[in-house]
Amino acid sequence: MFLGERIRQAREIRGLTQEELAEKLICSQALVAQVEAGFKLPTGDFIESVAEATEFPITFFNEPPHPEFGIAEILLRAQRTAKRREILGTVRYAEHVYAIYVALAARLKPIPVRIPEVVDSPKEAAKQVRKVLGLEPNSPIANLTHALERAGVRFIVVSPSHAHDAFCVWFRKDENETPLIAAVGGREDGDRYRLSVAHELGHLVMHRSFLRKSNKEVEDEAWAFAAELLMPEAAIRSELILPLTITALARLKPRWGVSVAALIRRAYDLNIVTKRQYHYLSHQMSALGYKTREPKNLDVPMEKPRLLRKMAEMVYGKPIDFDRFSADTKTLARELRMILKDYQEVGDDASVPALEKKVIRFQPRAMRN
Amino acid sequence: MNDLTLASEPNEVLQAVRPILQPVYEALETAVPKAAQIITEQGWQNNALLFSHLVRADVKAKLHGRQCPIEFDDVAREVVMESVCNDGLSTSFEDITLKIFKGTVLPRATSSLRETFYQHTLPGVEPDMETAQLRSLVILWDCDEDGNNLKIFLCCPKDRYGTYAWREVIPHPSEWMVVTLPDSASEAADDFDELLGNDEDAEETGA
Repeated sequence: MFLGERIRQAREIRGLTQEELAEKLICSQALVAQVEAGFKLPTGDFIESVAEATEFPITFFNEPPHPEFGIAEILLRAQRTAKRREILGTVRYAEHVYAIYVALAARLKPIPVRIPEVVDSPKEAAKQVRKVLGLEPNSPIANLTHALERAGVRFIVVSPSHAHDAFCVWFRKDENETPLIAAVGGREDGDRYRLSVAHELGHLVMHRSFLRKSNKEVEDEAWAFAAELLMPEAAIRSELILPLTITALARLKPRWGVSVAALIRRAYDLNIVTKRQYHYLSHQMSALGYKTREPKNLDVPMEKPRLLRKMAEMVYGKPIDFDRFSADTKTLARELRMILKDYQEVGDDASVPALEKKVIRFQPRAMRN
Repeated sequence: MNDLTLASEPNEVLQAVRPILQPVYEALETAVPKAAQIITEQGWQNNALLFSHLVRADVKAKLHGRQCPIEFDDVAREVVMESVCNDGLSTSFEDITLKIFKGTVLPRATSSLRETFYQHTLPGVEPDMETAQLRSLVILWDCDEDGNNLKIFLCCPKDRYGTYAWREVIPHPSEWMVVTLPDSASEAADDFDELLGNDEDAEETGA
């Protein structure tokens, strides 16, 4: 009997505790716990009330539970200040969206997964990933999200929270493994999003199997991978020309789609600047208020995934027939509309990333000096 | 000939002189940490005179002959640093003379030349604050002894006592960078039809 599990999933997707759901249903928490555990069979009225409280159609509760991700690893990598409940809510929401992907994918040609497993150094791993994704070895990546979607990665846009900027999962079912990245959307700092996605990709590529490494080592490797992927050493060395100033770095930001702070860190990690220069530049960033917010005119627009919307359009037509989409996915049409807002429409100019559309007008360095 | 007067809004003046402020800011941004580094590396005892002397020398070398950015008004200009004793920093933009001083306040004029400069080239006469043409500006820079907390101001002098009509923080050049969106790249490429199968396939599968 899946009903209890399905009620728990609906509750957790909405980020509710048993107490909170009980309050909405005007019943005891104990009753909710018993129903979820399968010790008590709910009445029709009870299910209707749950459906109303959690904003799912009744049909949602007739289905077997959708697959859940292993939460232990996600909890381990979450920020220390994050609350378990907050993380759980985000993960359950991601599972809900992933279930929609699965329903759509069953009716379309599968996209072959081309994310390699690399146990080499982060630098080598980044090089291999660029090669596999068909990206130039030393050029800025125009749209990391779209490149990864074409390589079989499923993106899930989650709401801003204190738990994560992003998290990733290799979802295993039968013989198939699907890489999935859940990232916070709808923000202004597209550079932070790109770095987070590249970091999670590092985990997908390098930490697919169990490793005897500390959490810090694993995180450091993922950051090193992200830096090399977005700012390949061979290319960025020739652009990080001394003396480095915030102005010079700001010119590189729209080109590479990374923050000035990330460029400073990269220059330090590659020994282009000394520790003293690194601290000086960081201090200047603080003094200018750029540690909190880099200049708005240099914002890297957010990348929006587009695969989910595209799949829905291919299955349910364009414009999407939301009634059928809703019936098949056991999700209310208005929620599906809300979910798809985070996924780019072709020609949706607002989310064409910086590197595809931003050109910074400055004279070449040689002309200026 | 500029149409700025002493009554012009500070922001209007800042915008008008951006092509010269940007290279000056960048030169100071480079010279200040470099001076601190030289003093440390040489093991010299740091003092304000030595520090500002090193900065002035470096700024002058960096600025003279440098191209101003053309993105603000599409005019090609070259920075010409005037010869001033003790590595004093003075240049001009259009018909405005700009001097670069260390500190956060204007020093009192101790020479007739400085007095004339402060009075917007009107010797012996205090300028009319409503109508006088703006002919003099001062760029003030300051930082701590390690070169941290660099602050740069644009200041409009008023009289020989070192009072000023206004003083504004010069925005960092990165805040003035112009980023444009070419029309050609507004459509994202869409190759998912091929990857996922075409619309006909979708219909066959029950869509």
